[in-house]
Amino acid sequence: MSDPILSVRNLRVTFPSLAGRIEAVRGVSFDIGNEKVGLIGESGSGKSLTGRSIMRLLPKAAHPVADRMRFDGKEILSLPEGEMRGMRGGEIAMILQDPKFSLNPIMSVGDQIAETCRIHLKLSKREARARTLHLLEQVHINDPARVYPLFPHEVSGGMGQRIMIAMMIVARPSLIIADEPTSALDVSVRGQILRILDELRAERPTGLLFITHDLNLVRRFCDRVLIMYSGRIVEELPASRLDEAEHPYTRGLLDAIPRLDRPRDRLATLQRDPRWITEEAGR
Amino acid sequence: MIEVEDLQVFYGEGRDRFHAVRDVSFRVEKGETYGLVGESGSGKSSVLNAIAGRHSDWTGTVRLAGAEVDPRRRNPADRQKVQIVFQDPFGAIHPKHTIGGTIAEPLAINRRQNRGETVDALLRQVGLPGRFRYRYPHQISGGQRQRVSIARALALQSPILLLDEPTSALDVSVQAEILNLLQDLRRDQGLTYLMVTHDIGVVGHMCDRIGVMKDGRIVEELTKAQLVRGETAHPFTRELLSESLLG
Repeated sequence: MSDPILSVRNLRVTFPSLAGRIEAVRGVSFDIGNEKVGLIGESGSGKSLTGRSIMRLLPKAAHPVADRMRFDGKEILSLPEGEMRGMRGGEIAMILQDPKFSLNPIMSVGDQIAETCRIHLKLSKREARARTLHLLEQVHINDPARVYPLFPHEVSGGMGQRIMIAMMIVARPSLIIADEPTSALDVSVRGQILRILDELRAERPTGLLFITHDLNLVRRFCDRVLIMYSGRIVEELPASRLDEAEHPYTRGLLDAIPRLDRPRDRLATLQRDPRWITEEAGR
Repeated sequence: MIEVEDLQVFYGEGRDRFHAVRDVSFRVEKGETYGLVGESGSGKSSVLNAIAGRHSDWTGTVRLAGAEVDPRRRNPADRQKVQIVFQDPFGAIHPKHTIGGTIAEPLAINRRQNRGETVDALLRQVGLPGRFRYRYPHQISGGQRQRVSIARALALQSPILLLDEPTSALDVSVQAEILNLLQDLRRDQGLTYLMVTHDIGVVGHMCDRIGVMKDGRIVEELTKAQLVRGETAHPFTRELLSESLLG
């Protein structure tokens, strides 16, 4: 692989607690190039914290350290906050699960996108409006002029997610962190959102970190998969070969999914092995 | 066990009146699991809410365990025939009530005796330790909370359970445990399930028959075998299948 867009080595995120420090992310290393990387794990595995560390959007109490967290030649963790703020929503963008919580509820969706255009691209009011309508069209909103004045509560989940994407691509980011972007959406809408992400990546090289607990989605959509368990990456493999996964945790997850092509009377349940928490990924 | 004929469900008044469910008919035999699938807004939850008695603005016929129910007035006997388990185990349980109190509430409302012993038995049935009755919802995991919702739904020994996306908020590993629990309960207690979900994999695993809903109507009815073999006649079902079927 040529120079990765993002390179992370030995990322650790700790929280203070009454019983000493708790390490929620425990030495995670990966690179993202011009590709779609799926980061899979269950609730509490540290996958979202890993994504948020890259944006430096962690809870106040969290303390992230890494041997390396390099994006575009810069060490993210040691950047001054002012410079980081320019990077967020600029070169690095993030989409979250529920657009309802990410959008400002008392500002029309068009004005919110236009505001982003004015801040990041220094456009005039009129230019920002024209750019916004164009962006809405780019994310396949049929009637941008009708959608522009709507408020977040007036749009559907799929529409909201498209608005988030429109806002995100204002500054043409080279790294997108998508944290469960489609989990709240219907399957057909989910397909549309994924196609929009693909179209954006076809325009320019973009790394995508796709955080999800949906193995089927990753299998079909991503290039590479990282499987996280208890704050570590326990396995890494090409998405197309997910079925050949060897780690017992990944195997357990795969076996627990009900599938039409493999009907069973009972679903296998995950038998957790305490060794998974301590042993290093085999690589 | 559940017979629905010509169900029409409405929301709103006057000019805003919205016809959410149109001419829906289906029947579920005793011990069977029937799945309603479709996208958000297709009316599947409206059907569930009409049957559950949570929404009263409907016409048509709904028979539960042989007896017709009145849209506007449910007698206590009707109410005890059916219980519902919701998607979000965070929202479905009162955060300031203990687990024991939550499970005992339907028992108290219906003035049942020996409530303490019944709560113990219910916790055992859903695979939770007895000491959990003293805990609060925030002290247990999402999967455990869904077990509590199921225990509460079982409390009145209702023969029919309505399951509204019971596992879509859970991790796959936890989902498998809850689905297995639901299967065991159905077999051991002869329960009848009506399940709403958008996950075709879950439907194929759990349901004997499936009704596919679109724009308030059931556009196609399939058996499990037909679903597994992909024998669908309606283009919408095929679209649902191709979007969710992965290999």
